Amino acid sequence: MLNAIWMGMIVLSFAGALMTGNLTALSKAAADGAQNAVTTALLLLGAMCLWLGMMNIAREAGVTAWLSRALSPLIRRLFPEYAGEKAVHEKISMNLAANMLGMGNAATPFGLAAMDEMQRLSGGYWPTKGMVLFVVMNTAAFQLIPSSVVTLRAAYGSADPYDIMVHIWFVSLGSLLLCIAVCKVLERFTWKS
Amino acid sequence: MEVLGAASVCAVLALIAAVGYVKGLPVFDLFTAGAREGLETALRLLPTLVGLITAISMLRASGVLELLCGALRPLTDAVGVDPAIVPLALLRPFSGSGSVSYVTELYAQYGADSDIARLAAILASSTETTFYAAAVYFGGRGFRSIRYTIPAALCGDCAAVVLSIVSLRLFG
Repeated sequence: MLNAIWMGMIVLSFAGALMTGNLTALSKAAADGAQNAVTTALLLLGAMCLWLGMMNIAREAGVTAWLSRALSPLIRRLFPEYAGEKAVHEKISMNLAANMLGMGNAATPFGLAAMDEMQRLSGGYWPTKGMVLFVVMNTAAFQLIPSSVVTLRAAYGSADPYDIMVHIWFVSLGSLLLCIAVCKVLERFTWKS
Repeated sequence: MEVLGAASVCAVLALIAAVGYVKGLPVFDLFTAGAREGLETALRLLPTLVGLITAISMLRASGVLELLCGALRPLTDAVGVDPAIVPLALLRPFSGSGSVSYVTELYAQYGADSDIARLAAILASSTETTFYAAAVYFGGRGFRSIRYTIPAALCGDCAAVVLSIVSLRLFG
């Protein structure tokens, strides 16, 4: 799937640039994009080291165990194949908590750690149901505190920058629930055992 | 609000460090040991990021999005939605920074409290950058396929577009 999408993006850009005469801009964009990727990786590197370091302390101190106990009814229902796996529960719960608090920088390192743990358990060349559901949930992240958008609206002189919060909860929760439902339906069609 | 988001990050950092120390743990040693794992993960992701971000950057520069927006014009007219939302709906799954800069342009052009700016703010905050997230989470793992990840995630993105229009019409 990613192979086809990636090829499609590049070929489509070339075709589009031919039609609009943007070829110079396109070649510059390719070079800039590769450079930006390195910057992004470096930013991610800092966040990864910081939050995985903090997670190591939190794990030893029992903070993650406490959090995963609190969220485990939810996690067990969503990821039944990892029902007994404490390490997976801890990392998923850290990711969910970071997402809800709007700590985007921390959610990714925790999420990657959760994926590593799930892959370690399952092995093989195919992602598990749980891994797919987990990634799809992260593409539809639900935020309790959408701090960046409120800050930006206030900066542009909004009279009430908070007045969209309820809408954001409604829309993001709605699309998250739909994502989960779609995954649960597709699981039945693609895993026949 | 910015303070609230920043406060939650600082509070979590301070809380974890303090709880660990009070429990008698070698907190700094634990931190550095954990941080080392981050190094490996971030380096493993570099090739994925170069491939994806280059392709996204090309897509944005090529003018394909503008062509698509023109093609979708009859649809927005039929539903009665401002066509200025279409570029955002198309851009959002690919580029987080691109969406933020587009939303900012709408604030500057129409005012932060205009209907279109509110719609854009809701839509941009209600979903994540789908392709980036899928690539980062699955990058470098050597899987043959990621199964139905993209279709399921795009269902969510489409739902977010519909729901944000519905939400504003229902609750104002």
